[in-house]
Amino acid sequence: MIGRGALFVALLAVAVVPLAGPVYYATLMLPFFAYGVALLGLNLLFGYTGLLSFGHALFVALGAYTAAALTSAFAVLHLEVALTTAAVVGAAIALPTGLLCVRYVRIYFGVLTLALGMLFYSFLFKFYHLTGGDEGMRVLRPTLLGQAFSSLDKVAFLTGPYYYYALGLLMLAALAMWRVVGSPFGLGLRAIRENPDKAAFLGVDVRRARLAAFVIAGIYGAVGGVLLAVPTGLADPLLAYWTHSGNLVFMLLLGGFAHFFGPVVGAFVFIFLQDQVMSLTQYWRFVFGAVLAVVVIFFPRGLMGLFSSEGGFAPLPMPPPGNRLRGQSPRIDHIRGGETPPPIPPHQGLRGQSPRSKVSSTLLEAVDVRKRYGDVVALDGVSLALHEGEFVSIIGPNGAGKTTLVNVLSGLTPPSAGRILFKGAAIAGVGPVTLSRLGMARTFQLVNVFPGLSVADTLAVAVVSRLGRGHRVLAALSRDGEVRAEVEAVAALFGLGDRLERLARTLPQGDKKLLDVASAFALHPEVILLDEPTSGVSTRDKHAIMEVLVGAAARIGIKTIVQVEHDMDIVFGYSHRIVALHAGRVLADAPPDVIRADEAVVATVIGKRA
Amino acid sequence: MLGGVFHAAVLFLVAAGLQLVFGVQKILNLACGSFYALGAYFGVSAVSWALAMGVPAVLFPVVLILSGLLLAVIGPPVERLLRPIYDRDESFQILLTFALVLMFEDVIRFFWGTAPHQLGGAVYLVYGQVKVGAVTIPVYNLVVIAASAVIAALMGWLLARTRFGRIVRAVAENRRMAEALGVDRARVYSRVFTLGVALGTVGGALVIPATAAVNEMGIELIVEAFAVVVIGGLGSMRGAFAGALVVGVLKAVAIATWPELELLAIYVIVIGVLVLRPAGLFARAAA
Amino acid sequence: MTTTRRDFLKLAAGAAAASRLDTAPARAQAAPLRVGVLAAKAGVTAPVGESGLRGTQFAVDRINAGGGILGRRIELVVEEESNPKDTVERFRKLALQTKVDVITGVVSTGVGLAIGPVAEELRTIWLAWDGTTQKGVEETMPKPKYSFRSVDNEAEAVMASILAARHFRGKIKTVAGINNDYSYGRDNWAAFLAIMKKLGMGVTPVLDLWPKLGETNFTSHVAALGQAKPDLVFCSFWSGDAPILLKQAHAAGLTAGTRFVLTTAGGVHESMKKAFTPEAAIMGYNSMYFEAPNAGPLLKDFVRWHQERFKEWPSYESDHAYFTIVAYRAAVEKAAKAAGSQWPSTDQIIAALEGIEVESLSGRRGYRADHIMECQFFQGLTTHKNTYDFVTIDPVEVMSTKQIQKPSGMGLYDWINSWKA
Repeated sequence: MIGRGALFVALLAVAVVPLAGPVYYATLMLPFFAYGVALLGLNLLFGYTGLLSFGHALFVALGAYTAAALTSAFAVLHLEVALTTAAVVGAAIALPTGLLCVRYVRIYFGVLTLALGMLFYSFLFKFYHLTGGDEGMRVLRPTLLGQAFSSLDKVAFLTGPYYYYALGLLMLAALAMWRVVGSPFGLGLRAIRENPDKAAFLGVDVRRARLAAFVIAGIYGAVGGVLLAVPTGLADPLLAYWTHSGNLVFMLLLGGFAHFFGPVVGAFVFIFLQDQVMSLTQYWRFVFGAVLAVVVIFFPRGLMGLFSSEGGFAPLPMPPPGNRLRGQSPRIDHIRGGETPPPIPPHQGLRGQSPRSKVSSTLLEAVDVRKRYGDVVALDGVSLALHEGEFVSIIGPNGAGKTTLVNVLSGLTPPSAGRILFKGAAIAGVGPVTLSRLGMARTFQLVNVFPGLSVADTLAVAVVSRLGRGHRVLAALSRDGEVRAEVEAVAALFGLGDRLERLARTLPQGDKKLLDVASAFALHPEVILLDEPTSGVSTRDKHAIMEVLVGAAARIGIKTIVQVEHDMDIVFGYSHRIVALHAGRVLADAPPDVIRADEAVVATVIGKRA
Repeated sequence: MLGGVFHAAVLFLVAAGLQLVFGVQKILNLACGSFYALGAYFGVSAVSWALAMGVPAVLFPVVLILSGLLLAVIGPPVERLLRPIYDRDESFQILLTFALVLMFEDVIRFFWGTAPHQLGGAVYLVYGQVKVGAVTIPVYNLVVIAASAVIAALMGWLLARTRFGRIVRAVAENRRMAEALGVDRARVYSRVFTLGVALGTVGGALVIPATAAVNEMGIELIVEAFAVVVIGGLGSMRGAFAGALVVGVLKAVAIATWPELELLAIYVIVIGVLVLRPAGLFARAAA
Repeated sequence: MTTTRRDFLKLAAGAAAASRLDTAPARAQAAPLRVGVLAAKAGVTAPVGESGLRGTQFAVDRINAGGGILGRRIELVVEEESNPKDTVERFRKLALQTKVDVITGVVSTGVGLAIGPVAEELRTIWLAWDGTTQKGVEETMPKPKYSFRSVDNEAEAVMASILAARHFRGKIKTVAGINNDYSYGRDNWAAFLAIMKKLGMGVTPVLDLWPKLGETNFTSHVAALGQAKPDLVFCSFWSGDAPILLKQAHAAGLTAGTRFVLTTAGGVHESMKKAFTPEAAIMGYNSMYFEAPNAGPLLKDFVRWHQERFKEWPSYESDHAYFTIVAYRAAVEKAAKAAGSQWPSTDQIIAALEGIEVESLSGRRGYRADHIMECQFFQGLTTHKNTYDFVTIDPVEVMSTKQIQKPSGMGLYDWINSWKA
């Protein structure tokens, strides 16, 4: 990250330009300020949320025309009014367009935003009675904080009071964005960028968060547009053309979208590079195309990426972990030492009591569930009930419908027929976010982490979600003691306490698995569904993981664990009950001893020792 | 109405190239308009040269198609340029194609200047005209429509019936699996991309006798091509066909009934489709 | 004595401005005269920009061959005219950084509307090549000091309408318009209809089409025109779309029975091939026709130079541009003589420019007191009787802007309405 010292020096240099530098370059700094603001918003959308908009220029044009309308049509010259109105208009337009666009992701999103930007361009062109058409609309010189500075001619005004006003505004905008990025909301955005499905399962309302990011980006774009239009003195439709949006993305990439200061650096370099190259050759577009190609291929992290050590967003600063980690599982150390594990005694149940001795409530129930995919019947009338305090394993050969069952149970896939009840309420197809709020969590077969987030951040996503703080846009997450404490606690339970700052993608496979599960646990669900929790993990680590899992569940207070598992040692070692599926039907549903004796199950699922 | 179909025929060729490349390589090629422009400029030069060399005027469509195909040799090197970023986020791919757009604009300007290039009217009318109802249209317009339809059919046959087509579809469905089964991904990509380029360049060349090659025509066309793709559904060849027809015909209808709306017509269509049927008319499940 | 920063900046700005203009230091005689040029290089206006640059080059070459302006060689600094925002920045660079003495160029209306105020604020003389429409003159800059604009673009429509009335009176009942969907296209069509009405032509508009600038496919438009069957088609296309429209119209059989008015197609006259452009269409060449019968040696020289160097026949923008250079020279020489100094001040040059008249490529041309260009316009009925493969006009009608451009201070429609029968 950029050092405080470097930042200060840069700020000083920028402040001094109008006094010491050539007048022309002082005027050139003005579009830099404007683009800086607009790009901070675009970076929130692209760098932090992972949505590449090819229509951001729409908002820049919107801001420009707002300023034009206010100053020339309504004779309102206060720049503050223009800025505020532009922000409001930007948000107002961003809301419906965002609703339309965030339904889609990636390429579709890019195509859609491009089309919407061009629609606005055509609108500006076409409704000339309103907008002036190709002739544009004048932007008259505004007053700053009520001051007209009428004794100054326009150049002196632009390189004097307006310069510092715009600089101040950029700094304010950056400060606000810094808070947004460091907030629980910002963390949610980063989670969405890294792995939107997992984010949803950790309770992040992906659609709503993307929309919020889009609206904020729209606001920043519009404010930037106002700043851009004042030096030009005219708002014209070409501001909304798609190649202008392309240039905005170019600037962002050039500076480095994975860094907070990337957009500002990118805007600066782009503007000054363009100025020099345009005077040198008429084929400057070729030069710029080549520069963009080089950046994309060789320096995708942009200029800031060259200076940053990790080339990724640095994890949110969190205080170092405490001295003694609670609940460090001895088994894990044991395993890492290379010794063979002692045999697993039959598990005692989550509350330390054999669950069969107690009448426990039914938490999760499937009632005659059927699921077909076209002609394929995945589930053919499955009924089962999961009670408080139980550890249930679902077993079956490939294609039996295990994962489908878990998907249906966890509300991800709606059943074709039948009901799913969680604590008595129907949850068929509610979706992951609601599910997490209701008190159920699940993990996936393939390790599902946020590659670019640290361990601490990953857990924080879940904790924030559980504490209901995901909507906080300006609160600093790094100062939230409660979240911090919870993160540390969960990390400790899973033996990850000593690597809170490590990025998830740098963890070994076993730790990734643990992190994946830990993050689900951090939601404090009542029921947790684990889809092959030990798959892809070496035998040695399997038991270690299971021990950690069960121990953590007990401490967190998870009431029911359901797992899909293939490793029969694990299955028999931990389950109170085993549900055997075959061809979409429940073959058997009984405690381990009974299952072991059931010949049909043995034949189809378990197999005999030869 | 026939004018709309003519426009649709041209749009289809560009959109087909776009869809093919997207479907297989998951790259949205912003430079598809640039290939179209290149085909147009090169087509003018090729036909002018051919006529000067004494090639009979009746053969000019052959010259056009050949010149379009010849130009497709830039396919492999361009694809090579895109190769380093295949496994990266799609945003990078679209940005790299944007870089190509910028570069191609100046390349065209460098070789052909900024003035419009066109073939004389004699070439356009070499096949004469025909009366369809109350309207007279040059036979060449029908030739273009027919050529486009033939190419559409060829593409359909290629993808459905040939071995290459099967491999292409396999790679489109599941790249890793196809690779694991021994498909040389690099070669397939190179060929698919070149085919996409060829569709664009041939499209540009075929249109030239009726219009002219003008500066920044590639940048202008992108918007329409995208509209076609959104309406038809990303990644689908049938979508390209349907989308092109919808755009071409609806634009013609707008011109005939409410000319003031011509500029906005295309966006109204796009937004309408998105609201009513978000995935487009023929969206692939994979996209 | 403390100076506030504001004062300081003002002083600095003033000093910079002063050092640019004034009472010449002795060195100025040897120092070259820098002329900034804003020329379009890309997009649909690029050929126009290129045409202007050629005219500029021709003027500068000859002036420099003759020793320059008051002994100072002209040095051209060319920047690109693109969109309003970027072009304003280039203008500022030319004025503030490169510190040119005068800036010429700009053909796009929107860009021109942005540049005008900037020229005023930077106190730099700006001689525009083109891009003046009603709004620009009436609303935005009613009394510019440093900006000198080109001809009112409606002049083309006015002259074409007058000629249409003259040649087609009694022969047409219905008219249709196909114009680019932006201010220029709309203004032209509106002017045409107003004049048709004023001159009592008794025509009814049956269709108006609005393809966007840059459109290349007019098959649907031609079909619509074919359905409407107008007696006359009014078209203000000025770029590559003009020949395309005619080509497609001809292919659809439209050019046989319909009269055409092509107000500005002369700008791309070499592409208006005989193969598809009908005879007896009214075609306008704006302010320069390469084969004008009243052509002086200057025009003949230019046409020859242009053909030899570029293998093309020149179009009108060259003369707009040529004029700005020679007008500037004439003004500088006149002002210097009147002030008795080696080099006149900016104010003196401006005063000399107002009302000036010089010999330009196509004839006499000058600036009105309100900073609008005065020149001649060339239009006529097309003919195939020539040695080229494109159409020319015969006879060539010449009208001065005094006849077809609205006078200063008057709105276009008021002026049209005030015409005597």
